[in-house]
Amino acid sequence: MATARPAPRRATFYLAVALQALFLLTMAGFHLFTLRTGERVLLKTQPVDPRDLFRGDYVRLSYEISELDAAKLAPPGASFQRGDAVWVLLERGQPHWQAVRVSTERPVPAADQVAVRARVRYHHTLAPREERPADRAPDRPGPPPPPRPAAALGLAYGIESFFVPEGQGRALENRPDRRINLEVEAAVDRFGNAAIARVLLDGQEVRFE
Amino acid sequence: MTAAGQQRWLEAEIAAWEAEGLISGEQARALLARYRARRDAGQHGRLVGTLAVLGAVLVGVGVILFFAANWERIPKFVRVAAILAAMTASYAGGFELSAGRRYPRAGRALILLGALLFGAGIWLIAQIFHLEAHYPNGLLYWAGGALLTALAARSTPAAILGAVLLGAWTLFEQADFGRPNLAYPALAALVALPIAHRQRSPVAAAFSLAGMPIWAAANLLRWSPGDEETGMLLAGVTALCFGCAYLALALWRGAATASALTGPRGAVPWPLAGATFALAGAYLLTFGWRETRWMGNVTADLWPWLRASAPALLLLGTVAAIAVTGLAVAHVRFWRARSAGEAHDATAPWLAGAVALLLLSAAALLFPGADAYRPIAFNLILFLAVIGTVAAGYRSRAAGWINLGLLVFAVDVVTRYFDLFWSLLDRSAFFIGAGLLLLVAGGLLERGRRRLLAGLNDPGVET
Repeated sequence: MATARPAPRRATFYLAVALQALFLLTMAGFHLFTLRTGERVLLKTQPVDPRDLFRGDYVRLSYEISELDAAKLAPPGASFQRGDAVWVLLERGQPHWQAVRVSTERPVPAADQVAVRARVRYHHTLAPREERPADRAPDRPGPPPPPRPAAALGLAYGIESFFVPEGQGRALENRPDRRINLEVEAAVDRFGNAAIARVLLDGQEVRFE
Repeated sequence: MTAAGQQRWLEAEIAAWEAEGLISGEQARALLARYRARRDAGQHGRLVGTLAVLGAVLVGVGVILFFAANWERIPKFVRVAAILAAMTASYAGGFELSAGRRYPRAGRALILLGALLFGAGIWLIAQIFHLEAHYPNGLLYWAGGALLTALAARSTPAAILGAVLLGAWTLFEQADFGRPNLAYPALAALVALPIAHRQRSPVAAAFSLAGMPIWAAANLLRWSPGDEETGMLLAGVTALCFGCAYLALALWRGAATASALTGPRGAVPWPLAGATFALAGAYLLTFGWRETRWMGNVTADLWPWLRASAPALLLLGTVAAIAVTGLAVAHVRFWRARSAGEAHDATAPWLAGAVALLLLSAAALLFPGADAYRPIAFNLILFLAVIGTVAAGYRSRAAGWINLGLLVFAVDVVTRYFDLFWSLLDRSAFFIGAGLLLLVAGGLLERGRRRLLAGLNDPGVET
């Protein structure tokens, strides 16, 4: 004869529920804290295909500060490995914030500066070269991109994904541009964490409804 | 009989009692009025209950639609609060319903819904805040929540969900990111399987038992030279080793008792999982690749790589060592029990011998020069293993084993029919010979089955 299973204990069960709720709150809480308390910085993105924005799911964003010239901005003799945690000092510009220094030590920001955490994606030492016409993708009209820096340091700030609800983003669907320039207003808190606060197109916030 | 039917019966009986003079007309009218009032009250109550449920469903759907239509307009913290409220309400409602013992099924369903809402919460919060994260981690956290719920609520559906999510986690880590994900077998063996055992859920256990050989094969395939033939050989050897290890563990646990194959009801299905993977592995090793590699160099390519690859040797060696250790322990226990005159499963030594043979075959046929003999040898081994599986199923009255053996037999027959490994004449000879052997075996089994049926009602026969 099968024995009846013991009933679950109320305290244990609600403790398990509380732990799960705490996990979700922590996930949200960290970013709410950053959005509420962080300094707002306006960043310029690399051109984005508008079709990506109404396809739905995540759009990959890349910023001007996603690749830095380590030869100019890093301390002499600094070396970086993939996965290293670094600090980037951003300075207010007109209108976009620019990177002025990158280091493994946390800098002390002055007025109109913020220090943001990043992770190294790659570190290439390159000989400068001129762009050849064949290097440019055929669907990229416009001025040629700037030449690659001599020591390219690729960084990720944790704000490279932007979620667009599927089927939305119609405001961007009929634009004649093959690529569009978005600006991202990010919040950077005192611990150096960054979060996307707003996405702007032509100075106006892009709203998805 | 339904309430309406009872009412009609009662009214007919009251009429009959009045006709027979057992009750007066006034008493008959009083009885009818009493029970009609009760019926009307009951019907009214059921109507109210039904309307309440429908109303609740409509409100719930409306709330969901409201949130969906206005999701982007709702402030972030309100969205987070809504997610938390939905998850907590589902969990609390589920626990209270199942604790009250009146609606246990509804309660268990709500607890599972709570676990699902935890996962939905992870993804929704990631979307709300545009979190850039290594997305398989979301599956890992979700699995953690589901397994925690399974432990705390003693929920079998949550245990199954947790095992499935762990498998999905390692699948994406290995396939999309090329990571070996060494944490998976530890989590599956030390967390998910014990929870499945505690819940007495073979389904939950099956996902973990299946996940480990698949995890191992995926890593070996990624590390290996990487063509189709070596991949198939590696997958076959991996499945075979894991199958033998599971069978050995089953024998280790149950060698001295009856029914080593079936085990107690609801337990982790070590034996059946072991048989499944052993047969699957043997099946994968039956192919000869006549067009591309006949008399060719599959093992000649594979063996040097295997010797040089410490991770691969360690992985396969560990699994094989578990299998060998389990067999040794099972043998020692079996002979001790037999010497002491205690109850023992006579199937155990046969099964242990079969497992040892499979392991030795796998080891021998990995060496160079074995390509010419491997397909023939494993076709024979698979054929004998299928017969053994079905026979073991009959002996232990394990329907799962019989079905497994017959399924593998059917797949093997169809495969061999179309397999170009042999010439038509060779194939026909194989089928005729195998068919005759099975007919003889079938006749013997039928005699045994009739004897079994004759003794079926004997109280001394263990079920």
